[in-house]
This record gives sequence, structure tokens and C-alpha cells, in this order.
Amino acid sequence: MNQSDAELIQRIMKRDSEAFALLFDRYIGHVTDHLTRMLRDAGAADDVAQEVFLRVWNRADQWSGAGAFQGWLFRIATNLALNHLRWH
Amino acid sequence: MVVSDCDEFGVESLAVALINEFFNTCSAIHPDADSLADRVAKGPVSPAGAPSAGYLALVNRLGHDGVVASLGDEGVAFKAKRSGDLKLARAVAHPWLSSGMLSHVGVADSAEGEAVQEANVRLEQMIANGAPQVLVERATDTLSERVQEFYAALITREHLRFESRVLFSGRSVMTPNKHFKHDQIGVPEEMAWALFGPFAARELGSDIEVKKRSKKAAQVLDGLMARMWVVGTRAPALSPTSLMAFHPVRVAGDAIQVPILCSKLMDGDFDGDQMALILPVTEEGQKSAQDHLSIVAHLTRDPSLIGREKVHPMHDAMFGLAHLSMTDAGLKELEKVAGESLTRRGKFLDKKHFIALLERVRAGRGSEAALDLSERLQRKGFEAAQQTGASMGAFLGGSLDLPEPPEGDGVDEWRSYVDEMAAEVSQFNHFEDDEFGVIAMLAECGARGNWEQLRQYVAPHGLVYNAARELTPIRHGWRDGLPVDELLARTVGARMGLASALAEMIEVSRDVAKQSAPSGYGVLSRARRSDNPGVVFARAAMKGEVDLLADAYSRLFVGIVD
Repeated sequence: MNQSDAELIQRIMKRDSEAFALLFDRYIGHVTDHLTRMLRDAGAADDVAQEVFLRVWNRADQWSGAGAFQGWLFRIATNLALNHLRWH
Repeated sequence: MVVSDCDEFGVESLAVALINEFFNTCSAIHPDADSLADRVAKGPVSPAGAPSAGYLALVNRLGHDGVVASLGDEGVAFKAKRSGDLKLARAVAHPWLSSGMLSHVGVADSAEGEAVQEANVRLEQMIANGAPQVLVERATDTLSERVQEFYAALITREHLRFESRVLFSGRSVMTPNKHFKHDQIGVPEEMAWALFGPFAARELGSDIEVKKRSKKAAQVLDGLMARMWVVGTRAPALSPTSLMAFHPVRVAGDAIQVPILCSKLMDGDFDGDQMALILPVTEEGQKSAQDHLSIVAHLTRDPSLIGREKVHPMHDAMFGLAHLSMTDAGLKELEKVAGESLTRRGKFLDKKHFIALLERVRAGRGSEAALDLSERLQRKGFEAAQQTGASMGAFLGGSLDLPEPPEGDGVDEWRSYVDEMAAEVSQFNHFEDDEFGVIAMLAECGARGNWEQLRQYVAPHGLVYNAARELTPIRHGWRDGLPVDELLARTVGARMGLASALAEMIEVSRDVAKQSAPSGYGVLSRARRSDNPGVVFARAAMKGEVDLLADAYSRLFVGIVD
């Protein structure tokens, strides 16, 4: 049975890399598409996507659980994309 | 300017000394480039030797991927060393050696190098942060891709070509000059002082007069320009005559002025065409330009240039010659110029007649005599054309009694009409007629255009395929103008023609590049033939191979001029 995002985040907070892999597979395509549209550069989008998921791994505890996980994830992606545009 | 044109024909067919001049002695990346103008002003400059500027640049690039190339008495020895100073967070597959792993990279100061560094930092951070395997693998793949891209950009075939930004060169738009001899070229005032100023300073003993551009300096400048050779080149260079040597003449204005006789050789139709001039600064380069690239040298090497209609009087001049030959008095004038008797086969002498005459003269008296005759005929032709006062009316062909076009759209009736019209127009032979005779003679004598173009000028074009690939009649000719719908239908074919012309040009370039590929089996020759030259160098380094520089291309590339 598919585990929900919230359940996977709970496991990730306990450093469960299997749960992270599931979440990664679930969202990497969407996040990369979103970043490619923002950055108009597939290579840069791939780089930033990796940083987005590294942040999820390191800061999973910062998701309050109040809203959809996807919203939080895309907010991270958008902020990192804006940073990228600022510095490149 | 950048010279790559001379690379296209292979070193065997062109002047070796000149390629060394452009690629090495006058290369803007040569270590002594900054002092070249001063050295020229002080005295004769010797050709630069080995290692050449281009070879040094290649060696520097190879160093980034762990290949050491050393030029010695035996040739170029290739050895492997540990790649550069950047330690990779994880070893990745070697882009050039299928069995090897790469732990270090010597990232050059380039966009690709920065991308490797960024990807490496990210992977380091992931490993340090204990990131999950899926992320580390992804970051490792990215690093591997960036390394691949860095290596792909590091050594390409372009780095093995005779290509360099050349000092003592200039570029401008070209215009025709009917007063120049076939071995002269007009160099704009500013360019003339920039290119030849250091030579004038050498002759005067100092650059004081040259800087003031005094009368005395101008006299010296003009005198030495008349003795020197400058190489003119046009891109894209698809034939050997795209590089031609001339005696420069200082002219007013900003345009380079080309003798009319050479315009076809250089593919110049003067619609904004640009041309570059490169000045060989060594005695060897000057001699090589004269011996290999002057129009006389080109014609001696390739006598078919006459038969291929490259050096005969054209356009107005051809028209004038044909017109002059219509009368017995005119024919006698031409016989005087030609130095032999001439016989009309029709109403006048045409292009074929003059080409045959020039071929006879070249075979009997040599290239210079043939070119001189071509030039004399050209002058006579221009003069005669001017005296005719011939012009073209806006309603050309109005006096012709042409059949009426069909009223319907039937394919068969339009086909018949076009055939009938073509026969009617091409049977015209009233060349003395002031109305249609002038332009008809232009086509008939080979000066310009052809009968099909004349038909399309005066009469409806007939059937063409429109954008929907349907046959549709064009009911008007160029003289009367085409309505929008007909013009759109007509331009489908024109656009297809342009596309196929472009495809043809690309094909020709490929053929030329293939023909000029070096045939040797040394490392440099193999690398230049390879789509991925870095692999050739890496394998040679692993084996400790020595390139004995057995072929002319490789010797010249490293700077050895035999």
C-alpha cells in the first residue's frame, strides 16, 4: 500500500533512507519540471533539484504538517531557483 | 580576423610558408605576438618555428586531462600523468579511456570547468551530510556528466585545425574597380597605414614620419605597397581561389576594391560581400603569396579556370564585345586587341568564342598573356557597351507579338502555352532592335541571364506548385508584376530552391573537409580525423606513443616548415 507523504516524512525524520527514496521517486520529476520552467536550463534544474531534496533530508522536521507536503516542497524549490537566478 | 580558410584544402595544395605565416608567425596567440609590429618596423622578420602557437595551445589543453606532449628531435612524445589538481569527491569513469577511472581533473578556466567544480562541491556536501544513497548516486551521475562535458569541450577537432586570429590583417566590404590590373587590390587608407605603416617606418628609419602621415611617408608607403603582396580571402572558402594575392594600392574610402577580372574567382557579387586582407610579414610569406596565390599562379595551376568561366570578360563588358563584333569595323577593332583574326559564327561573337580565344592564348603564350588579353578585352567591352548607350525599358517586350494566355486553369492548355511562348521568345533574333534586342543580346551572347528568365520577364510564368502542392497557373510575368496570391505561390519554389542551395553548400563543405583530412597515421593526424580527438591523445599517452611527424600536416602543425 502506498504510504502518504506525511508518513514518509515521519520516517525520513528518523533518517530512513528507504522512505526518502520513495519520496524522491514520487516527486523528482515534478520538481525538475517546475525548475526547468523557472530556470529555462535543464542542467541547472537538475542541479537545483538535488539541492531541494538534500534540504528535505536535512530539514524534514521543519515541515509543520499543516499544509500539503507538495506545497512545502515546491516552496523550497522556488526559493532555491530564485537564489540560483540571483547568483548566476 | 580569424583564418581557418587555408585549412580547408590541405597543406599539400597550398603554400606551406603562408600557412605557417598565418597560423604561427602572425598568430595573435603566439608568445611573441605583442612585439611583432615593433620587430617588423626594425627589420626583416624571420618565420616563427617550432613549437607553433597552435601546438602550444593544444599542449596546454592536453595538460588538463593528464596528457603530457613534448616536442623533441624524434617528434612529439605523449606520456600520461595524473590529471589535474581537483580531487573528485568520487572517482568517475574516464571519458576517454573506457577501462579507466578518473580521480582528479585539471579544470581549466571555462564554463565547463566551473560546472565540474560546482557538481563536485555538491557531491562532497552530500557525502559529508550523510545524504541518502539515491541522492548521492544522482549527484555522482551529475558529476560524471559534467566531467564528460568538460572533456568534450577540452579537445575538439577545431583545436587541431590551422585556425588563428591573425595580426597584420583587416576586413571590409568589397567593391569592384574596373581600372585595376588583375594583380592589384585597393586597400582603404586607414587599413593601408595600419598594415604597411611598420614597413614604411623600417624604410624611413623611424616611425615619426609615419605617425604624422607626412607626404614623404605616404610616398614610401605607396612605393613599398606596389612591391609587396597582400592576401585577400573570402569566407566561406569553397575553392582555392578564395585566397588570392594582390599588389596593394592605397585608396580613399572604407571599402576594399577588387579588380573586376577577379570578382568571379572570389565569388564576389558585391551585394555587401566582405573580404579580409592578410599581410605576410616575412620574405618567405611574401614569396609564397606570389608563387601560389597570385591570379597568374592560380591560372597556371588550374588552366580550367578559363573554361569554367572564371576569368573572361563578363556582363556589360561581354555585351559590349558582342555588340562591337556585329559590324565589320568593330570586328577589326577586336582583332587588333586579340592579335589574331576572328570569325563570327552568327550575328556576333559570344562568350564561348572569347573563352576559346583565351584558352588558345594561355596554351600558346602562358597565363600572364591570357590574363592581359582578358583585361584588354574587358576594357574594350566596357568602352563599347558605354558607347552603345544601351538601356533596358520598364515595359520591355511590349513590342513583341506574343500569344494570348489561356483563360482557364487547365493544366494541359497552360503547358502548351508555356512551350509555345518559350519557342517564340527564344526564336527572337532582331538584336539590332532597341526595345527587346538589347536584353536579348545580353542573354544570347552569354553576358547575363538566359532565355527562360527573359520569358518569365515578359510573359506569364505558367504552372507552378503552390504551398498545398497543387499545380496553379501564374498569369503574370515580372514586367507586369504578380498579384499577392500568385507571388506567394511562386515563392514556394524559390524558398525550396534556397533550402536546396543551402543543403548543397553544406554538402560541398563536408566534401572539401573530407578531401583535406590528413592521411598520416601519427597521433596528430589520427586525432584530426577522429570525432573525439581526446580519446586518441589519451590512448597515445597511456601507451607512451611518439608521433614521428612523418606527414606534412603534422610537421606544419607543430611549426616545422621543411
